[in-house]
Amino acid sequence: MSGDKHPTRDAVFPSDAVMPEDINEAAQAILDEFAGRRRGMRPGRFIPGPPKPLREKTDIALYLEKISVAFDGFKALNNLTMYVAEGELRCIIGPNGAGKTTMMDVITGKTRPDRGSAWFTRACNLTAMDEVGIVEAGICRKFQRPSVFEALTVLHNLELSLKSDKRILNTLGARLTGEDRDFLVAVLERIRLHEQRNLAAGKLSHGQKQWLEIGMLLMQKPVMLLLDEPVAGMSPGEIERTVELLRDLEGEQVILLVEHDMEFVRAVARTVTVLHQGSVLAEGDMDTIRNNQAVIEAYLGEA
Amino acid sequence: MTERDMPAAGVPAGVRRNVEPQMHEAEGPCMPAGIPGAVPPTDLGIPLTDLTGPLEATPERVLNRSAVVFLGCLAACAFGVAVCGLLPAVYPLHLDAYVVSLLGKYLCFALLALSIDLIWGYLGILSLGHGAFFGLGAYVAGMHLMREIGGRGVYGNPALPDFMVFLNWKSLPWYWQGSDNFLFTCLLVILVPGLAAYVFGRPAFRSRVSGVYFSIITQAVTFALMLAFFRNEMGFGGNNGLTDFKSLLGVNLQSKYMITGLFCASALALGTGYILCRVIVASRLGRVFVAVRDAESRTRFIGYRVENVKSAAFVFSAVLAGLAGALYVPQVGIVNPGVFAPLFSVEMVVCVALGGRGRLYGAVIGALAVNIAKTFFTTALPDVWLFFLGALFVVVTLVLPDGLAGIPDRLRGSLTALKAKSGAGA
Repeated sequence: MSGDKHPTRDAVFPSDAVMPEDINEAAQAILDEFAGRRRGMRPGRFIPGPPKPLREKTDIALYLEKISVAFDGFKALNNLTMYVAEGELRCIIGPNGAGKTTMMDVITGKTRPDRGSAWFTRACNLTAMDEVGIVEAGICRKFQRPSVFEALTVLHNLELSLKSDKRILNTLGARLTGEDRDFLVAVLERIRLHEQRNLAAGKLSHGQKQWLEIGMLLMQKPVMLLLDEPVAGMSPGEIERTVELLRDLEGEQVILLVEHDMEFVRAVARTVTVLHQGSVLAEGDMDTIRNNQAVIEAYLGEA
Repeated sequence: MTERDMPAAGVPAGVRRNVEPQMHEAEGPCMPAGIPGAVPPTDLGIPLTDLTGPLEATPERVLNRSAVVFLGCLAACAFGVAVCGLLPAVYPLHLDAYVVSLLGKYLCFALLALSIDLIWGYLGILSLGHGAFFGLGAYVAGMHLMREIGGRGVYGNPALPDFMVFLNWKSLPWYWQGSDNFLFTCLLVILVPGLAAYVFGRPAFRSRVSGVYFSIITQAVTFALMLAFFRNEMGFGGNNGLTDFKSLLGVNLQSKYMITGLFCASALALGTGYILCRVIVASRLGRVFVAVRDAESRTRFIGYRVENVKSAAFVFSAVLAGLAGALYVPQVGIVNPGVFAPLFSVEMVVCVALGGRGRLYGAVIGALAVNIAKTFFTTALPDVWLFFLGALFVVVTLVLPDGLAGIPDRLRGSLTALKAKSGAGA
């Protein structure tokens, strides 16, 4: 990482140049650089406008309190405390190894925390439920790498994901009702895969697979969506439409978004949480984060 | 890019900083990314085939074309063999009783292969010990046949099978109780392999043992069963197994009616097993199977309890395997711990791979092909058989990854490719 980062930084601040007095300005440049370099894009190009105002909701949907997870002595999460309000779209950013994916693992029941408590609303103790129970409670997750059923068609992918009684005998005799079918078509339109509906999912492009996976989550009528790097590997046009999709979903569901792509985060996020070394480093809107001394140091330290 | 070089050429620092934003601007056009919004929604490099297809996720038909063809062939062949088997020996079309029971045996192997294909081809569970369930079904049937011998055995003891008399046992062990009842035996043929599969499979799937680890464990289990059944104290005839059967339901096992009847029962069991598998595979549950095979974790995270799905499929598959074993015993007249030998199970897996997995009828074709070849080689060239089997497996995996059943599809594929090529040339 450092090997290829330095020359570029030197290009922005040539070594014989005097560093700008304002450190924030420098950090801003680096954050921009960081965002732009990832996808080879000039920053600020696909922002369709300011986020729409969020409706007033103060109830907390997700409580993560003092959570610690260690793998062989490595503290992936260290006393993490975070609250997410209902209807909120929250972005989680942070350097590699900050614990973003581990946090999602804890919320979805894949990893049990060593300490701490995780509650979804006041009814579900996430640390006491298994993965399927958590899904049934309405928390759906998109994986970092697009994970769809490649041998099945787009329609069948969505059909399997439909919110329904998923026990064996019910699944054996399951038929699509008219209502289900309408909902399926609506989701299909929303993720713009209507024309590819009878194509095997394995034949979709990378970006389309990401959408299909988001569609599979929507089929479950989720209360909370966890999206792990939803725009990784997408083309600029696809990213733009993903931004639209997320704007569309905002307010309907709680959305928790992990993303490296700073431009994307800037386009969709209202509140951003920065994780660093397993705990929350900073929280606030994008501008606050951008000017936060600790955040700048964390990113500089990683580079 | 000249602006970028300029500052380095000795322009004062203050000026340089003003240049910086310009540099940033200049970077944009150099990058490979396209203009935002310029990508039309459908122009994503995907061939949009089959846009005319139905909108709804149509339920797949249980009796699709290949199923109808397969069941038709099975019924026609079974009927032909049955009629020829019943013909008096003077007719030229007469089939010897030996041939009929041999064909019946093949059908039992085909049912076992079918049960393996259901969990391997669709669910991705490779069981290298399915012979264990086949063996359990076989032993249950064998026990009933032993009890049917009654006083006609070598020692003439109406209550105890010969080997127990030989071992100087005074009474039947508890687990032999009720084995003289035909209906109870039929029940046990279903229950014993099913229960064994549940007891073994459930904890394995719950603790998420999968892939090659699961295969190794199944192999170990069947080997352990073989060692156990070799022991005389187990009460299953030890080394020699159960043999010297006389009759079933009072009908002599050697009579051509019995032999033809058993053959027809095997064909019926295979046909029914196939239809049941098709019902599962064509339902939403069948698609869940494929989903588990391709992305287990995703399946779990859309709300399916994968361990339950796997356990249920494993139990159903074991029941089919047990049924195959139960029909096998009266037709070959013996069951010994050899059915638990790992080699037997592996051979059946080879049959499925050879026939082409994930198609159901492929497993049947594979089992028939391998066993016909086996009969031929073990009588004509007994030393060559294992080499032939190994070579067959290697060649099929290399040349025909879809197996024998995949040949028509491959031919069709290359034919359309050829047509497209000639069309493009013209």
